[in-house]
Amino acid sequence: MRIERELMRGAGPVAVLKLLHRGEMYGYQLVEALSRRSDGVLAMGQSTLYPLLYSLEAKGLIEGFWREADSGRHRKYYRLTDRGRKRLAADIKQWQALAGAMAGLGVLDPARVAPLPSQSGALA
Amino acid sequence: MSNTATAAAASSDSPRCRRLNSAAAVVHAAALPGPLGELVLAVTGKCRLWRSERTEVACELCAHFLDGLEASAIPADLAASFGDTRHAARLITATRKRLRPLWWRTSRAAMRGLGAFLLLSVVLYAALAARFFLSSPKVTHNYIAELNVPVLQVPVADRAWPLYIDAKKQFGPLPEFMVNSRGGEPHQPGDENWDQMSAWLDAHGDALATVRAGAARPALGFVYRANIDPDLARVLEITSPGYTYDPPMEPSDENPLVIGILLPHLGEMRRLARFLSADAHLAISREDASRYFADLDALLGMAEQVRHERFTISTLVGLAIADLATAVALHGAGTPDFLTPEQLRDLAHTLGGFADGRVSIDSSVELLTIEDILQRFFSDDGNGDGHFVGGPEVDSLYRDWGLARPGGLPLLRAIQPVQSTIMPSRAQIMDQARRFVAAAAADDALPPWRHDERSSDMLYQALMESGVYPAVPFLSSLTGKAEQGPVASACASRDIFEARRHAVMTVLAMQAYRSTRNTWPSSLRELVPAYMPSLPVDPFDGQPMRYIAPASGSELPLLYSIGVDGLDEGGKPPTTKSGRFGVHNLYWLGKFRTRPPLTGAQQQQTDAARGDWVLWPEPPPVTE
Repeated sequence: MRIERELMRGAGPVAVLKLLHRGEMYGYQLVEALSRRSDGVLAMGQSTLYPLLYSLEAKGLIEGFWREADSGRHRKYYRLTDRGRKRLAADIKQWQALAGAMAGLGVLDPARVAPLPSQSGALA
Repeated sequence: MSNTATAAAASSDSPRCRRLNSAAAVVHAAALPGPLGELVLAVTGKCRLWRSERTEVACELCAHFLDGLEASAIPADLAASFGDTRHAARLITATRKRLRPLWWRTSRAAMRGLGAFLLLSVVLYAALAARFFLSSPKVTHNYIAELNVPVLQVPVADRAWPLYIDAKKQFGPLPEFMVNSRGGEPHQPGDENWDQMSAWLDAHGDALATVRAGAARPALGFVYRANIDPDLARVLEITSPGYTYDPPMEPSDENPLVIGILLPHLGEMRRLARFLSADAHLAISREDASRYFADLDALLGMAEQVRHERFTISTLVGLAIADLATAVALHGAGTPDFLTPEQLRDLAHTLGGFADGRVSIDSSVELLTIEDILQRFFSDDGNGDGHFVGGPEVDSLYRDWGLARPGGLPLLRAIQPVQSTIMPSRAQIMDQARRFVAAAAADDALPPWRHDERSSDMLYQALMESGVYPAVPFLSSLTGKAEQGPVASACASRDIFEARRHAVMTVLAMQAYRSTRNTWPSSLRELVPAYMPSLPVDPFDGQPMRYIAPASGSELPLLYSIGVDGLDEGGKPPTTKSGRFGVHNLYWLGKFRTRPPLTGAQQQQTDAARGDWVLWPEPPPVTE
């Protein structure tokens, strides 16, 4: 399913932040993970991903660094900053509130909406 | 791509790639399959970034594709999933620029801000210029014509000015001893060249009679115009060697600026008045009371005529001529046995009757002058309001008045649209002008000992600086920004004149008293009401003027004012010339009263002015 650009614009950053919350990742990894973990819903091409990464980096939410991988090649990895962690926590709360509201309206299935972050520990 | 190729590319994909000097070098070093390498070059080629940034982007994209190839992705799929290269380049450009150093982002923001400011300024200026240049002043009033209405209503036979011109013609060119005299023409016996002056006066009895005849006429009758009076000009050709009257080829402006009209009669009348004054002193020396009174009456008549003009400068000239009359009266009164008690009383009566007892400073023409300027420099919205605008008349005023050099006029015109926005409106300026005139009237009514409370000068300065001055800077240059403003200065001159006049009237009363009783009064109160209607007032404290009766019959009494320092020092005058000048300078009241920290020079002035203002008899002159 293809997501409208406006919706993607809101969801893309938080999705990337969430992925990086698990650990540092490089670009190709992020593309793959986004596609795989969202069943292709949040799949984004490099033409979208790299500008998004640069934008998050400019905002100080993530930081990029080059490192030699096991293969001996150097890749640019990205990881979450402290500010990025705080932002992610705030974004998750907002998304959950939004999802709750949508569920209340019947737009989303209430059974598929996660409980509030305070109840579940959204960053766990 | 084979695994061998991938491994080779992987070995080249290191931070070293960022040290390669171009994206092409990076792609070449990465050894990507053709479509992918072209894709990276296409994207980085479209990025409007620094070369180093494009190189780093190429590094990252190459690493990305190499990762994909390592994961066994097909190059064509990788290329297809990349997305639109133009869109990618645009997004990458925008976001990479946000990663640039702070100094670059700051300077870019500043440049953008500056650009926006300049653009806004241009737009704003265009709007202001349209507002400025599309409006034009509407000159609806001819104030000169209005001022000339009462002048022209007087029959020619009742006008003094034609006789004054005749008299000037009769006097002819001035003799050498007058022209070359350093302190003006000889004025009274004892002055340098007095003998020549006496002879000259005797030789020009007809001319003096013409002046007296003019002074006896009910009105001055000088017609205001922007060009020199042609009748006067023709006489000047005779009396002033080298002067040539060049009549204007074009008809004179039918509605000239009030502030631009010429008042040559004032100078001419002052000169004629000095001749009359000298003739009166000559009459005293010859004990010719008839000639003396004729001259004195003529002086006061001239002073009245010129005073009735509504210009402040005319009032000041009237005061100056009347001051000559008081000096003549004092000389006559102080000359033993020259005047009979009756003549002394008549003289006091004549002197006291000048200007109905007190000269008033009328500032209403200042209002008219400002109105006249505003109608030429401001638009008129029909409700008394409008804004500063340009126009041919404004340009010609600037040119004719020398306010702008010919080459500077375009620049001046260019800044005027902006100037018009910071200037108050026509209604605001007029409101300020009316408040100034009201304050001037209040100043006029204040007694001299409250001179430091006079406030119109401050309002006048505010008027000049906030509105009229930026539009017409010459106004300020005419009125000056000196300590002494136009109205308060005129009031101070008037107050000192009035003090002198009342002192002279008191001396006349004292002389009349002595003539009838053969002794001086022991107190001024003895003079009231038989010899004078009321006691003279000291201009510096409002109390009666000070008087010290003589200890013996051979001595003279002393009439004096306490002077600007406010202290009665027993009639002791200052001992220096500057002190003699400063002792009756009303502008120094504040310095003595509020005692602010004075500069060294001010302290010297005030120290010098300590003493009393001796009105009669005149104290011996000082040399320093």
